[in-house]
Parts: sequence; structure tokens; C-alpha cells
Amino acid sequence: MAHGFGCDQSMWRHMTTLLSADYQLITFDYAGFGASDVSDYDASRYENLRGYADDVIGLAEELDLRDFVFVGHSVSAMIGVLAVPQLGERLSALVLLCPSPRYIDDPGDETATPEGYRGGFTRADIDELLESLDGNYLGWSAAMAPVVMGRPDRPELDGELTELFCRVDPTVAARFARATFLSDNRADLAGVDVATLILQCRADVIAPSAVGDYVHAAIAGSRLVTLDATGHCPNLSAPEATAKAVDDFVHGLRRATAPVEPRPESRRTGDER
Amino acid sequence: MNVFEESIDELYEMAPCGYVSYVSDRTVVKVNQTLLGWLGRAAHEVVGRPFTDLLNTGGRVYFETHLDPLLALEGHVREIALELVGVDGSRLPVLVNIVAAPATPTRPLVYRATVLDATDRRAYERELLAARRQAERRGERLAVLQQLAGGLCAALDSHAIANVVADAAKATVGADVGILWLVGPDDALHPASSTGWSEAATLKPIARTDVSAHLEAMTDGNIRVVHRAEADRSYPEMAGRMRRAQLHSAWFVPFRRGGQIAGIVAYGFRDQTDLADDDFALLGALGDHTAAALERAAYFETQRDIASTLQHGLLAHTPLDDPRLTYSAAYVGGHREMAVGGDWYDVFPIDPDCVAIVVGDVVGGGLPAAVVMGQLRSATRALAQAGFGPGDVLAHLDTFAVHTPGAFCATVLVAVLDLPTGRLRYACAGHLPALLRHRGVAVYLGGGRNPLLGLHPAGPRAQTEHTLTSGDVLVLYTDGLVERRGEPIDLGLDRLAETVGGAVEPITAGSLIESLAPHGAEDDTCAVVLAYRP
Repeated sequence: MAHGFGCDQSMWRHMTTLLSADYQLITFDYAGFGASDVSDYDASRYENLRGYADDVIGLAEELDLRDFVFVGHSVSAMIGVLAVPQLGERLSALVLLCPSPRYIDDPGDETATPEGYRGGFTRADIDELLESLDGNYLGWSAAMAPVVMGRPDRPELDGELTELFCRVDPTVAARFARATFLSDNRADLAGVDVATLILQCRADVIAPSAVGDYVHAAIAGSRLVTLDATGHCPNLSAPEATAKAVDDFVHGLRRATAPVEPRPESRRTGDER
Repeated sequence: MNVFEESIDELYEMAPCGYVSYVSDRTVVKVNQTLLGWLGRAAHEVVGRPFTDLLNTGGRVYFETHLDPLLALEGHVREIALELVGVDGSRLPVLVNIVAAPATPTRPLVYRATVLDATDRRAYERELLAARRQAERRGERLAVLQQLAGGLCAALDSHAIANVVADAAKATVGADVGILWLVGPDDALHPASSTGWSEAATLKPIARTDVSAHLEAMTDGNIRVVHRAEADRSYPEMAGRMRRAQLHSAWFVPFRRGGQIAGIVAYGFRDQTDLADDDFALLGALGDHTAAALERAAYFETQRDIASTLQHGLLAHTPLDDPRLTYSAAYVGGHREMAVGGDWYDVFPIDPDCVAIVVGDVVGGGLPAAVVMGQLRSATRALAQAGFGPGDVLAHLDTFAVHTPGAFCATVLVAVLDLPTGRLRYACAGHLPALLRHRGVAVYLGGGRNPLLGLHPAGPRAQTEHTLTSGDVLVLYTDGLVERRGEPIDLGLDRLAETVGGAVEPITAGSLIESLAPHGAEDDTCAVVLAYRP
């Protein structure tokens, strides 16, 4: 289960509680997020989403995952899509939670609708977003100060923040945002040849339902489920509905494939980094 | 004392901060007057509409991706920096605290936010960030300059400097192309070195009468930035080159040496690049470093040229053209930077039938020894050409050596060959013996041995005679040819004798030095090889 822009693996907290009885689950933090070592972060690797996809592939290979289901939230959905060709036989299915292959409108793309592709944002919107992130003040918060200050030698400064969730280094966040919001992976959707579930929220400004429809149309044989939830993080705001949708989907896959010797897991547990 | 009950309504509506409450689907359920006043809106425009409508795009994305998840996980957030959008589109920087009030039987979950106007604080933060960024950039620039200075220190001549400067274009300013131009003696601008561009070899010098951006930068001494559009208009040839190299802009940075513009460093950029004040300062500093390094290199080169000229002057002689003998001579300096030393050779006529051959070695090395060497060489020539025999030449050189600083304890071997008869007279003052190859056998001529110059022995200087026959080869040399560190000199002498004795093809002085004193020897080496064929 891969987190998207804005948080770290603590996003999956509720889903983990709901699903851990029946599945082995792996959650992780991308480089620069959560508890990962920011000094390992290599900016050039993550200029676009490809670097993150490589990390996912690397993770799958290192853990020798087989027949696993990749659940990607937000931009991680596209990261999963990019990783599909190289994951090959290891991957049995994809769950795309609030995906968007491109956030900026493209009036010239008539394959979507006659008015073109609606990503939900104009270029000016994204420029403003990136500029505000670069300015490093958006979300500048006392709660994030220890991460920003980077003073492991002064642990007393962390204080009550040891239980901080969603820690993100602002520089890393800015680059991730750039890689995310300037991405265009519409062409990669056609390359998805595994069973795919698309989950979208009823009202999501980041990944509007038209975008979910687009992804559904672009991935042959995919299933689309609209959750009765507002916002972009149903894994947090509507975890039961989300977990159920995922569960139903995976069971449907099991029924469809030939019976194999019983295995308790299709995903393995672990907390990376 | 006047204790009274504050009106709750007034406390809420007129608080010094903004209050707004919204529910899970983002709908605002309550907002206070203060906030409405900041936004310039009426209550009905805000209540019932999404809270996120009050934020700018970045804020909305941030709310959905960061704030909302954080609230879901922690139940509260503190001091989040956001921007509210007023009815007139104006932006209000704020700090926001939000707490989630769990659902009760009478109402759903509601998020309650306190909003503080952070305009001043934001301005302060911006200044801090800008100052920090500037400090970081200064640090980076300092590191870059230090690295360049290190590279320049290690570069010994202007060619090496030019390469260092051009190669550093990318590291110092992130340029894709770097070209160093230097003003030549003809006052034209010549390309000295380049990096990042395959067509560099086609660059031609720029004369002062040409029209070019380079010259313009040189005229007023200021950095000149030329974008492609301007190049298209004013410098078509350069525009063509820029197009082929895919350059978006070119910067020309002149630098001075001794008060005059000595050259230009030209940088080419493929991407849009903006110059900050710091960049100008950095470029200027780079130019200064380059100029200083070139100054140093020029001085060094002059010194080396002087030394080299001197040496060649000191060892110059008119080649002898006589069918009765063939000879070759060579000098190779020690590997120290100054290729000048105390060794010398000389071959000159005394009269049409008589030739003198001399080798010598002054104490010490470098320029001082070379100066003394020149004097000794001239003195020896003068004495031999005046008719003195080898022994007498040495005797007179003794006097000369006593009165010439640095000549004391020099060694010298003087030989005079009478060409019609083959009669060789020679005298040796502390020098290694000459080698004679006669019919394939090499022996050292051990006669005529005398102490070093300047020691004024009692009595006349010893002199010996030997008669050469046709085909004989005589080798005179200095100790660099036979001495090796850690080895007794006899080994070197044996080696020389073997090489000369066993040689099948004619030997030359150069090849002898090449094989016996290979590159890397610390001492000077001199050799003369003479073949007698009357």
C-alpha cells in the first residue's frame, strides 16, 4: 500500500486495522517521507515519477513479492501504473485509489471528451501551487519544525512531536509536488494488463470523478467504484467503505483464478525503512 | 472594579481572531464577523459553501492532501500557514489552528478553526528564508570559487589555466558551454580553450574592427548578456552557432590584467537562466582569479623562456662541416622545471685542420650554474682558439675559476684533435674519462688526469696524447649519463662501454642519452659522439 502526496504510511492506519486480519499488508514510506532518512534522498532520482516507480520495483524484488496486489493512493496510483511492465508476473492486481494521470487540463485531447481532457487544474493553478510550496511557507508549521530544522543532536526540541504523523521535509515535498502535478501518464494507462480496481470519491477536487472515468476507460477490463466520500483521502475519511471495496475486489480475483494451494496472504507485512 | 459578564456572542463574533467551523464534507456551518471582515464577505456567501473555497489553489490542494489527513489522524493541527482569498481576490496570509470536535447525538463531527492574521509574520518569514537562501548560495559560491582557485593553482601555464577555466564553466555557473578568449599580441581576441561544444575548433580570432558581443563587453568592461533573439538581430554568425549548440543565451565576462582587459570568459546556457546580483559578483570574482592566474603563468613562462633562451644561447655553436669527422651532441636538462644546468659541451675549430671537443660540469644546478657554465665555456673556447694545448687551457682555467664565483671545483675535459694525423691531445680536470671505440672495442682514455678546477696544483697540468685511426668513435659525456642513484659509478661506466662497444649501428648522442639516462633522471646529461674518418 503506497502513500501519495501529502502524507506517509500512517495514511493507511485505519485500513490496516480493518484488513490485517485477512491479509498480509506491506506499507512503506517513500524516500524523504515519514521516518525515512532524508539524507538518503537523491533529488535527481525523483525529478519525475519514474524514480518512485523504480523504488516500488526494487521493493518488490527485494522482498521477493509474488502474486501481490499493489494499492496506490493518489499519485502512487500512477507510480504503480508505471511499475506494471517491470513487475510482470509478480503483480496480480492493481488498486488505484483516487488516481489521476494528469492534473492539468488539456483542451487539445479529444479522446477524453469533446472539450478536451479535464484534469481539474489550469497551468496557472499548478504554477501557483508549486510556487507556494517552493516558497516554503505553505504548511510551514511549528509541528514540522524539527524535520525542517533537522537537529537530531537536539532531541529535546522534538518534545511531544515524537508521535508526529505525516512528517514531510518541505524540500522533498516541493519536489514530489512538482513531479506529481506536472506529470502526464495518460499514455501509460494502456500498458496496464492486470486486473485493476479504480476507487474514486464522489467529490474530490484533486482527482475529480471525470478523471476516474477517464482512467477506467483507458484500462481495459478495469472496474470502477465510486465511494460516497468527500475529499481525496477515503482511506482516512471512509476507511470501512474503502476496505470493503478492496476486499470484494480481491475476493473476486480469487474466484476467477484456478484454485491453488491455500495461502493466507496475498500481501506480506512489513514496515519499510 | 467592574466585573461583568461578557456576551458570548460578542466574544465569538468580535474576537481578535477569525473563527470558522465546517463539517466533513467541507461545508461551513458557522463563521465570525472578524473573519468575514477580513474576507470582505457577507455571512451567506460563506456559510453553506465549502471551507476550501476560502483558500487559494495551493491551499485547497494542501487541505485535501495534508490537512484533512492530519486532522483525521491526530484530531487537531496547529499553526498551519495558509492563504485566504478575499472577495476582491486579495490574499491574506494566515495561521490556522483546527480541532476536530467529535460527533455528539445532536450534531455531527465538526472542525473548528481559529484564524490569525499573519501578514507581518509572513513578511518576516519571507525575509528569513530569503536571507537563508542567500547565505546558502554564498556558501555554495565560495565553495565553487575555492575549487576553481585550487584548480588554477595547480595549472602551470596559460594553456592549462585556459582549460581549467573553461572546464569549470559548468561547475561554477552551471553553463553548458564555456570558452576562454585571450587578447593576443596582435590585439585581437583569440579562443584559448573551450568546453561543452563540438564546433569550438572552428572559432576564428576576433579582430578589434569586427562587430561582436565579445568586443562590446571588452569596451566597457561590464558583463554582457546576449539572448538568442538579440543575436539573431545583431550578430548573425554568432546566432547561427548558438542555434546549432542549442544555446538560449550567452554571457561575456571580461577580466582585467594590469588594468587592461586581457580576455573574456564566454558562457553559453541552454536553458533560461536569470542573473542575480550574486551571479554578477561570482562571475567578476572568477574573472579576477583567471586574470591573476594568467599573470602568474605569464611570469612563470617568461622565466622559463629566459632560462631556455639562455641555455640555448649558452650551448649554441656553429655546426662543423668537415668530411673527416661526423659528430652529434645533445643536452637534456634535469626534470626540474627550469631546464638549465651546469653541464655543457662544445665542439669548435681551432684552425682548418684542428678541432677542439669539450665537456664540462659546473657545481650545482639551475640558473646560477648555467651562468657560470657560460663563462667557463667561453673562457675555454678563447684559450683553446688562442693556441693553448689542453693542459695549458686547464692551467689558465684554474686562474679563471679562482676569480669566478661558482666556477670553483667545476670539472672539464678538453680534447684537441688534429684531423690529418688523428693525433688527439687531451687533459681532464676531475671529469669522467672519455670513451674510445677502436675496432669494436670500447676503452676509457684514462690519461691526462688532473684535480678539479680552481685547486691550482703545483706544476703543469697533465696532458696525454693518443692517436685515432679511421673509424674510431670518441664519446665525451657528463656524469648524468652514467650515474644512477644507489649504484656505484663503475656499473654505469661499464654499461656505457658495453652500449658503445656493442653498438651495431652508428651511435648518436641523443640515442645514448635516451637509452642510458631515460626520462626522469634528476641530473643534467650531456654527450658528444664523434666519429673520425680522415
